[in-house]
Amino acid sequence: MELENQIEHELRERAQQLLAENVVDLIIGYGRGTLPNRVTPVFIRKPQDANMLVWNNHCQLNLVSYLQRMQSSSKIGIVVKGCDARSLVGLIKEKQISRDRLHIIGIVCDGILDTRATGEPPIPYASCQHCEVNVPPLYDILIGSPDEIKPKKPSELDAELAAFEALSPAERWKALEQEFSRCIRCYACRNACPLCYCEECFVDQTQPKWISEGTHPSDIMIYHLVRALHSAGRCGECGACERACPMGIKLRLLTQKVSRDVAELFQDKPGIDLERPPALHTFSTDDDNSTFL
Amino acid sequence: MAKDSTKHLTSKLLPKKNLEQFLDALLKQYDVIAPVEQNGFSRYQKITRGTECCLKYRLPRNSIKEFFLPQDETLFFFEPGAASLSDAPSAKREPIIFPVRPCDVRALTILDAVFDDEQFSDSYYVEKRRRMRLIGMACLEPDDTCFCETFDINSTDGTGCDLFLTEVEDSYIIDVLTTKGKTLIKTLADAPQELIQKKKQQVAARRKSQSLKLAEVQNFLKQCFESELWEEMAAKCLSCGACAFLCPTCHCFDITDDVAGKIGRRLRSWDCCMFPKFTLHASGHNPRTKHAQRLRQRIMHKFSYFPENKSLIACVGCGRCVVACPVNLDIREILSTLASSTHPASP
Repeated sequence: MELENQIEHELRERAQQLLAENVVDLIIGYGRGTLPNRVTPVFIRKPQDANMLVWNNHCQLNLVSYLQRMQSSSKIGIVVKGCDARSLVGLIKEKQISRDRLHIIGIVCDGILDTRATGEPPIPYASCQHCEVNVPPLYDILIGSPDEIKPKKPSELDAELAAFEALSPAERWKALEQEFSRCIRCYACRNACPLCYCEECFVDQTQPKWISEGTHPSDIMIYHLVRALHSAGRCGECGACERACPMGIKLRLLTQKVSRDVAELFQDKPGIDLERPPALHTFSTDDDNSTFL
Repeated sequence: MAKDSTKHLTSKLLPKKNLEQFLDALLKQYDVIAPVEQNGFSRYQKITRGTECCLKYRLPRNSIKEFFLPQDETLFFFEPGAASLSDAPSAKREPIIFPVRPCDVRALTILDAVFDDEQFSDSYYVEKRRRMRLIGMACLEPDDTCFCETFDINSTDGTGCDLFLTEVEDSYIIDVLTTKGKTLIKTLADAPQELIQKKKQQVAARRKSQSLKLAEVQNFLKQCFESELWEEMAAKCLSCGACAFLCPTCHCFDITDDVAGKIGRRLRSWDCCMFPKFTLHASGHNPRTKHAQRLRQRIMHKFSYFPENKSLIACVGCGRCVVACPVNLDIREILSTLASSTHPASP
């Protein structure tokens, strides 16, 4: 049996058991989609429905974004990849969901294939190609074997991001303007992000009104920059925002650049350690102060 | 819009290899809007050279509605505190969209019913509609996500276009449908009879897109306002606006005043019933706080309210929302779930 099928088989068995034994009353997982290479979220409440669960290299959604809606379930089972678990750790640390309400079904993941790329053979998303968190940092059950994952070589560093970093500030601004010129303000990026949970986003506020409606470039830029800064030191680098974008905007350039800065300045990788406070929630006299004006 | 009385003047021939040249010639006099290649899809935008046009994908990701109802439209300028208004400048060159598929042409008739009916005529929309030239293109093969057949759209019929192209071997046969269209193809030769015959055969043999059972859906919608199905179907909805903003028929808008220093502008911008803010009242009350209420509104508007008010279904089966939904909430699946529901909850 292929590795993916093995994982799917075990996932269904464990899910069925968890529901039958009332360990959880809901499992949020991936189900078969209506298009080739697409999966869709499923919400399973009966043991006999556990066979609706699927696992394959198209499971691109971060299901953690559904957790806060599920107020009526007392104990929730959730299927997470390494990156998804990082955002889950973030939510627990920010006291948005209680660890006690969760039964985390972690899956060892070797990357999700980019459905947008047209070439053969299919390649993983850029965020997956450079991912080092193949095993979820937090789980109750782990499915899959970490030994099957090939470790990344240093030469596999993110070339596109490195090229973006190498630009001058003015050139970088231009590159972002170019990307965001396609933005239609549908907010799919924000809504797909588990860490964008503000009850009222600043872009939706009318009193005061921070940005205009419409598509003026400066309004669009403000939205994306504020979102990136608001997730600095919190972003689990899952790439859900970029995958949700209907206009193919490379949001990663901004979000992963900020993540890389946080890693360099504060030696922190968000969402790995449940005990360590988020880098930008604390202050230490040893912090790098070079960015202070 | 009034139909042009000049029905199918003649058929012209455009070899595919001359397409770029044809577009370059149009660009001398007109603004040309065409699909441009992006990362794995195409997008309608103004082009500057014929080579930019990319026909690799059947439907561009965005619809053509933004060229009639822009996402960001200045209705007029004003000076805050002063009693002076000025019109927004209008574009000088007349625009052409190439190519437009029959589903998107149908979508324009739905927008016409809103912005240009007997009672109300929106001058901003009507002006853009009047100036636009549409060069249509037949679909002989549908995409997997196409379901225009549901709405009796003939994907090889050019009604509503000025010119209509059908691919035959390594050429396009161009049907000239209006006098406005005729001025665009002055230099092209007549199509040979042999290819016109071939085109007829191809049109007859076209592969039709998926056809969904709508009668049951509409019947069900009349009595299912309180159905539990809405909660079930909306459980995965992220409440983003990708579906509505890419939809060629969704036309809800907001009007706001945008003031920067001494310049104010009255702005019309797209709005979307999937956003909680869409129905937020000034009092703070919001009648649609739940995802399910908002999804219900979108489906009801398209398949129940709009047909009741305008005798038209506000969906054309282009499948853009199917492709772009980040969580694969598929409108075809919603419609089949509704159609197969025989026990609606009582209101």
